[in-house]
This record gives sequence, C-alpha cells and structure tokens, in this order.
Amino acid sequence: MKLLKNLLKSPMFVIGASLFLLTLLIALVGPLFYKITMARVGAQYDAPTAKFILGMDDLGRDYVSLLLLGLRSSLFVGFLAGVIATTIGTLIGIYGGFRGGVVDDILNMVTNLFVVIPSFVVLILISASFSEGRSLTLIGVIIGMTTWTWSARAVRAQSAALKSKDHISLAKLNGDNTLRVLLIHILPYIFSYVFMVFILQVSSGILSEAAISMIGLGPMDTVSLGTILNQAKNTGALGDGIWWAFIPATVVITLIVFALYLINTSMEGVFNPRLRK
Amino acid sequence: MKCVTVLKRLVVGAALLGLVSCGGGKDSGGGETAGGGSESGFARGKTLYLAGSQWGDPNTFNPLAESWQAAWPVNDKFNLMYETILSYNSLDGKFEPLLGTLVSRDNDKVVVDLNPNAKWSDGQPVTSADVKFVFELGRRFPGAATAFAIDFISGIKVETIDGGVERLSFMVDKTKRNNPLVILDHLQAIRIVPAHVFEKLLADNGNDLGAVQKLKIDKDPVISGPYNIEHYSNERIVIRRRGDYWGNEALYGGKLPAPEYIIHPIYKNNDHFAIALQKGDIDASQTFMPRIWLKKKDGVSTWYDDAPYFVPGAMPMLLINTTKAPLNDPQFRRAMAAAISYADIKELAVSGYAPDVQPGLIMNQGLEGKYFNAEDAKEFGVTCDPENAKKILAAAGYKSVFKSDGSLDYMTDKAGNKLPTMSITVPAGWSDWEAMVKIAEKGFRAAGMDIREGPVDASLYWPALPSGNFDLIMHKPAASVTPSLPWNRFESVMSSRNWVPVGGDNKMNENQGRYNSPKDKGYNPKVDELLKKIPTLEKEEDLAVAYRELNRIFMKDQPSIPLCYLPEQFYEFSSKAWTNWPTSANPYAPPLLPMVGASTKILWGLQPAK
Repeated sequence: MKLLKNLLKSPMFVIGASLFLLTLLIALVGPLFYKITMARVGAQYDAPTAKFILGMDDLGRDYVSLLLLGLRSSLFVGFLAGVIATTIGTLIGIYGGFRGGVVDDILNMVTNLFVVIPSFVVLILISASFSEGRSLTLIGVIIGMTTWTWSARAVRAQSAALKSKDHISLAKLNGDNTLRVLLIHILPYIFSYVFMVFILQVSSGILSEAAISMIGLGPMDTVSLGTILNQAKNTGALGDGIWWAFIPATVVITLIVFALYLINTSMEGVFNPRLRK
Repeated sequence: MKCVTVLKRLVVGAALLGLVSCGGGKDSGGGETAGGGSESGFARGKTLYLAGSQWGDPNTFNPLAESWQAAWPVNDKFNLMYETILSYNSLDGKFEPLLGTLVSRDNDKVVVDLNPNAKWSDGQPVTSADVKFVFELGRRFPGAATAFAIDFISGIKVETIDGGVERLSFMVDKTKRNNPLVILDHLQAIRIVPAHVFEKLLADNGNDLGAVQKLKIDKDPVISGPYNIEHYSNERIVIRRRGDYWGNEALYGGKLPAPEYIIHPIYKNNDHFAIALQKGDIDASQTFMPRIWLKKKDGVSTWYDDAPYFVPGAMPMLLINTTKAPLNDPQFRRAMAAAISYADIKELAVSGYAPDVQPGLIMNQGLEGKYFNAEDAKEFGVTCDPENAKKILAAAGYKSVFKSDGSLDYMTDKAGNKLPTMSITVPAGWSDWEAMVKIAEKGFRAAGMDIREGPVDASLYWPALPSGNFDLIMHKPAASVTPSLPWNRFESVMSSRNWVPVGGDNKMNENQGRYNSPKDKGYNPKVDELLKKIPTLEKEEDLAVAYRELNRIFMKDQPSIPLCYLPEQFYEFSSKAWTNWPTSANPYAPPLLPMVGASTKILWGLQPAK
C-alpha cells in the first residue's frame, strides 16, 4: 500500500497509468458502446465524416471499428508476449543467478547466445516459415520466445546479488529446497523488478507485433494495429496523403508504449531508493 | 538496473523507429529520384524515363536467353533493340510493318515481305537467314527459348520477288498444332536476331546453345532497333538513340525518335513508381497505381480522363483445382462465382479501372467484344447473387455450420463429411490481387464456403501454378492483347491437350486447374475440338458460333472465375517533360508504353515540353 501511495505521488505514474487504463478500458468495453462492423460501409479511403470520424480503409470499412479490434489484438499480443518472455527470462535468470557455477555459466551462455542473435531477424524467419495459419496467439508466442533474454539478464543480476544474503543462508540451513528458496525467499524481493521488466516486455511485444505486421508477416485473418499499417502501406495510402489510414493507428501504438514507458520509469524511481529524490 | 535501462532504450528506439517508418514514408519514398535527372549527365529535355518493366538487377541482354531472364528492353516482346517482323495494333487489330509487312494469311500459310531496307547496326541487311535462324532454332536446339515456334511452323519458304524483296511463307504445321492464329502471335512477339553474329558465337562455343545463352551480350550488341544499350547498373538501364537506325528513313520519313536517351530506373515497389511519376522524375510507367484520380493534380494522366481510365485487355481470375473435392463439383464452382461481389472488387481492389466484368471468358469490350453474347451470359452465366450461391449449395447437398457470432465454422458435403478449409494461393504483397482475394474470401465465407486467403512468397507462387499444387490460385492467363485473343484465353484455361494429373514433376502450362481430364468418364471432347477448330476458322460468323459454344461450356462448368477486367498495361504518363502522349482523344498509338508493338511509334510522336 505504501508503495502504491508513493507511486501515486509520482505525476509520471499517474499520467502513464491513466493513459494505459484508458486504452485498456476502450479495448474492453469500447465494443459495448460502439457498434463494430467489418462490413463495407463506404468507398475506398472515404475521408472522415461526422458518422465515421476516422474514415474508411481500402476495403471501405470503418476505421474506428478496425482500430478497436486492432487495439484488442495488439494488447493481447503484448500481454501474451510479455508473460512468456518474463516467465522464461525470470526462471532462467533467477535460477542461474542463484545456483551460480557451471549451471549459471551454461544458462548465461545460452542467454548471451540469444542476445547476440538479433531477435527481430529470428522473429521474421519464424513468422515467414508459417506461411499458413499465422494466428495472433502464434505471433505472441513467437515474440515472447525471442525477446526473453533481457529479462533473464536483468533478473540474474538481482538473483546473484541476493544469494549471499543472510536470510537465504538461514533458509538453506533450515533445509528449504532450491525451488522453495527461489519462490519464497528470492522472488518476492525482486518482484517489483520483475514487474518492471514485464511492463517493458509488454510494450516491446506490442511494438514487435506492429513491426512484424507492418512488413506483412503478422497474423492472418485478424486485424491488429500492425496489420492496419501494413494495409495502408501496401495500398499506397501514404503517397496519396490519406492520413487517416496510418496516423490514428500510429498514435494509438505510440500512446500505449509511451504510457507503459512512463509507468516503468516512475516505478523505477519509487522502487530504487538511490533514484528517489 | 543496467539491463532494464538498455531494454528501455531499445523500446524507445523501436518506438521512434516505428514513428519514422510509419509517418515519414512519403519523404523516404520520394527521396529516391529517378536516376537523378539532369544531374547525372542526361539532359531532361533529351531523356525519356520509362518504368515498370524491370524490377530486379539486370542480368543479361542476351536475346536468346529466356525472356524472363533478360533485362529490359530485351525482355518481354519489347522492340527497342531487337525487333519483331510485325507490329500489332491492339486498338484496331491491324498489323503494322516493322522488319516485314503482312501480305496474306490463310489456313496453309502466313506470308510476309521482309523490308529490303532493314539493316543491322553493323550495316548488314536483315534477311530471311536471320528470320529462319530464330524461328527454326528449336529444330537444332530443343532448349531454345523460341523452340515452341516449331510446333506451329513446318517450314519457312523464301522467294525473291520484284525489287529483291524477300517473301517469306510461314507454313502451318498441319500435323502438329495446325494453328495459323498463333503464327501471327509469334510474328509480333518473337524478335529477330542477327544470324551472322550468333552463328559465329555458336561456332566459337562448340555449337553449345547453353553456353551462348549464358553470354551477356551487353557490349555494343548488333541490333536492328532504334536504341542500343549505353550503360546499366543495379539502379538503372540507359539506352541511346541510334542515328543510323534503318526505320527512321524507311518507316518514319527521315524523322528521328524524339528522346536521345531512354532510362529505365529500377525501383523495388509500386509506391516508388507512383511518387516518381507524380514528381515528374519518370515520364511513363506501367505499374498499378491505386486512385489515379488523386494523382491527376500532379500531372499523372491516363488513356481516358475519367473512369475507367484504362482500356481493358486482360482478365485476372481465380483458377480452380478441379480435381479436388468439393472443387470438382461444377455446382460448387458456380456457387463460388455467385458469392463474389464483383462490384466491390472493381471499386476497392482495382480503383474502378475497368468496366463491369461479365460472365464467361469473352470480354464485352475491345476487339473481342464482337464475340460476346449478352443473352448467353444471362442464360448460362452466374453473376453476383449471394442468395443464389446459398441456394445452389443447398440444392447440391452442402451444409454450412456457423458460429454464434455469425462467422463460418465449417462446411459438410453431401455425405455429411466435414470439408477441409480450402486456400486461395496469391503472391504476398501483390496488393491488387490480395485485395481481390480478400473480397472473394469474404463472399465465400458469407455464403458458407470454408475458403481462406493463402498468401505465399512469389517464389512459391510460380512453381505452384503449373504443378497444380493449390486449391484455388490467382492467375492472369493471356495477359497481353495478342492477335489470338480470346482463343488464347480459352486455351489457357480449358485445353486438355497436355493434361497430366497433379503430382510428381507433372506440369501444365495451360489449364493448370486440370479441368476436363481426357481420362474421366465425364470428359467433354467438344472443348478440345472447338479449341482446335477456332484458329482455322476464317469467316467471322463461324468464329462467332464457335466462340459462343465454347463460352457456354465455360459458363456451365465454371473451371475458373474471372474477377475483373484490367488493362494489358497500366499506361500512365506525365506530360511534365514530354508531351503528345496518345490518349482516347488523340489515339495515334495503342495505350502501351513506347516499346510494345505499334506503340513504339510514340517515340517519334513525343515532343519535349516547353
């Protein structure tokens, strides 16, 4: 509670959290208030009107509907990728850091190996190899599986620092097994840290989805913010100055990522005593 | 904390990158100018920029290489360096003289007179030996790019008539294809090469055509056309006017073609071409540019000032693999044809660049319009009618199961078996085709047919087509307007001449959907009979009857689904640097870039803008 109070004192956190909650709210309850339709309701790239405030896409569909669906998809991919990357990264990092020795060396080597392989290139190759049936979930899983390395390195450093603390030694003397030590005595200490990593993983997941979709390797049969941009790019909307084809989707992506970044930065200020003013 | 900071920086960096790539596309695209114009040493007033006919790096300028391997302007049937015997005018269907003049055509032979003034750039005359070399190369080397010609031509008889003119009779091979129509196609598509040069190259290379085909032929090649290769790189190809081109005197009254240089810049995507044309960096392009009316303010023009802007010539269609259930059921195929919104395809996928598509394989437009029969189309054809699609499916015993949100779950056949999801193969990134497929998919699913878009890399698309490894595939058969249309289109879609089943290395270059197998008990011999007969018919009324019968069979069996009409080339031009481009108001040449058939004469008609 004290942490939350401290967090709420940070204007950066309030702005970030409000922005993020707003997008989440729009994604979850927006469809209850706005009738989403994927049918053709106008001509190709009809300009915004009072009824359709963001105009039409290349197939004459309402952009507000597409953005609402896209926002849901992008958040879903972001969370999925974030959960997967944070889980894998935390497990590898916390175990390696705690165990040390050869196990840590091996896990560290694997992590470093994944760090030097450009994850986006791996993402492109894996996505391209699924020529059929690339679903939103699959894209989220692929992103999660290729971006966990930073979480692992971050968590490992924390875990390694904690392992020589007195309470860990006591727990070990008490006969607690490794799993129990990791879950009960280490994880809670670095939980705030893991949460911050998770937030960054979510935003990187959202951006990765947008990027991979933008180059045409995104999910099929689904609308995401990235596929909206891809469609605008492929149909030459940029050249014709059709701003409503790409500005709204870009703004939405930017806002979500910006909000998550604000949350993360403000949390860092609160959780890290050295950064506190 | 360091790692988190690094991660954070990455995220911010990626976000900024995203913003730049999303918002700044116009500038980055436009920044690539078409070879730099005058700054690169080519005066704009003397240089014509053409685009859309060379996409990858130029590999070879060898006229004996396969057309798809050669670089512009040696690829396709362009006649700027190497010339054809005749020029076809796709507006009026007439043959215009080039290296030769058409004298007559009947079921036994096609006769042309070679122009006695035609000369190679080394001063040697163009003779029957050159013509025979190219057209009969397939007899010596089965791997020759023009080997297909010997299936149609049994021999070329040469006689010298008044004034030393060589008269060539291309004899129809009655035992093989018996098809004078395709000989006419060849005479306006196969470019003649200097026999004296290539015979020597063959002799130097141990009579190995494969070795000769590998030569680049990019240094002062001996050609007969008005422009010769000057310079090329991975960014552009430059060709230069030949002052001593024989045709200036013989065909154009001593006039030179207006541009001294023609440059083809090599861009990677359609957007670049559109932006370059709007900026006036290129003068004409044949690439698909959506919403051309928005580009008019930047000086981009087309054949017609208003919709449909272009002259229709080709029919993109969904080819159906007729060997797979349920696609082997004509009723299912007819239901598919009824489920598609052709109006949406026309308006949304191709920016309204064509008149409404009609049922059948004959356009109600242009030279083939005379064979179109509106009553038959009404009686036998299927038009967009989603309710009718559902009725046809129900009558044929198909049932569709929808989810609670109204979307399709699956479909069952007559026996109640669940049908697999079928896929439409389309090259990823071909935006107009992808949009067509998306609209078709929407119609199919709404009518209860479990069919989805299946974009594949273009490198997988091309092998899939002849092998038949597809459920449905996008295709544009008979893409150019040639003398043999619409026969050529029917042949491409319906001929069982080389029917082989799907599997192994089996390939079919026509009828890739494997319609009308000669081994099936349901084989309809009438189709192949008509396809054989039409090229030999000389009377218009006989042709009309035969085409009518063939088109009826097509409409009843629906082996493919034409989606819209599109032009042979998207002829777009800018008058910023050059004026007097042909248009519907000034139709002195067909709406094609000045390197195809009768449109090459545009080069002599262009005037530098003041």
